[in-house]
Amino acid sequence: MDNELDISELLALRDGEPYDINKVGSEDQAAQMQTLQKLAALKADLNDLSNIHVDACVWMRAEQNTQATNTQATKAVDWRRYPFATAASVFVVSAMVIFTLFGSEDASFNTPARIAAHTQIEPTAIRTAALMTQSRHLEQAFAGGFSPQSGRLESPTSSHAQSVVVAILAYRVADVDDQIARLYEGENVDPELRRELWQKRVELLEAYLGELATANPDVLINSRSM
Amino acid sequence: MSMSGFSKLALPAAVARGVMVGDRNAIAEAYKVLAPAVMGLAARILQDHSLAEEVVQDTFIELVEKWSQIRTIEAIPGWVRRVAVNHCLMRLRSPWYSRRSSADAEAVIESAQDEVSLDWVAQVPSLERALGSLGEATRAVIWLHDVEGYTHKEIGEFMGRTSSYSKSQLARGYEKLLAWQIRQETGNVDKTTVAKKRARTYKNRCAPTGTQVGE
Repeated sequence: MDNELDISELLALRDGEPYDINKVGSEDQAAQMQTLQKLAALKADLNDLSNIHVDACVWMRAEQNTQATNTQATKAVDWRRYPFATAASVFVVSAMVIFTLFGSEDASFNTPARIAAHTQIEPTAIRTAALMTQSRHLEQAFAGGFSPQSGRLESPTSSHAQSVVVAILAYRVADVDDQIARLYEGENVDPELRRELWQKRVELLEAYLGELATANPDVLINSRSM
Repeated sequence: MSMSGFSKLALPAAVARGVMVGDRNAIAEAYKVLAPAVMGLAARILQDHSLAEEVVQDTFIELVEKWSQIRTIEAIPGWVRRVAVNHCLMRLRSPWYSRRSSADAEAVIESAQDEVSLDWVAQVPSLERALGSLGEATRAVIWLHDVEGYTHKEIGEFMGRTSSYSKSQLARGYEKLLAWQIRQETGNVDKTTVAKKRARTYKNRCAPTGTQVGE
């Protein structure tokens, strides 16, 4: 057996790598050549296995993930500039407003995201993807009426109280963003928790939108319909 | 000479130029060309469709985020392939993958006792099935070396091992594939035997201690 090429050496011979030439053909040459041919044929067969079709939703998910990451990165920079001390100091003043906003069972606050949460029509991943898209649309709607850096309404009609509410909401959105980012840092992302966070984000953004619309209906009259 | 699924692919010049500047539309077009090859690679190494889809997703997220690391247009497919391989190997090493394998093993063992559920066996090409019955490391080495065209040295680096390790895994894998082929030729195999052997392989692979992944 010592004078026969083993599989490893036959593979080297097949692939044009160095091998012990003294062993070639020294024993049962026909058998070795047959094995060599089989090894080459197996390699060819492996290469003939076709590539595999990928569902289109995989790209959609990849794209949404990158958008979420970009949004998070942008916000991380923006909110670092945000004066947290000011936000904390106005928190007490605004607590009642926030409570009213989120404690209400008003039917008008049944956002699509909330409705989606109570209906088990779609799997979690799809609902999360929908929430991500909704979140992106809402952010686009804010682009013209709100400056995240300043944390203030651009509208000249906005009152100080409204500015405070918006500041608090902005703080909460940033906090949710931080939670989402931390979620992705872990190895196992809990899909239900991820969906809940994105839902929370959408709700906060919609509340945000509501404040903007109240302050200046002209600015966001079209974007609310999204 | 390897006939890699990637080496056969070429991005249209405009798409490649777009990728080099991070154009999202160009990357979407590149996805259409390259994703099936990434999926093929990942599915063969991981033997798990949903995990393979995750690899495709993560690979292209990385392309969107790190396109600036690619130095030349010609390097795009190779860069994507390398990222995909890293994601595959990362999953093979993860405890999460082991847990999934255990669950899979139970499912396969159960299916081996149920003749009706063997329909899936007939749907998969024979060589594909034989490849899937090999240990994770063994089939990864076979695929990376013989299909993707990586050298033993490169595979050793990927896996944090030596080139000798890669060579021995390749030899071990082909010994089994040759044995499988002989059984195929002599007709000395039936579906139940294949399924039960596959189940045993899974079960051994998932044994908690002293298990060599290459086996």
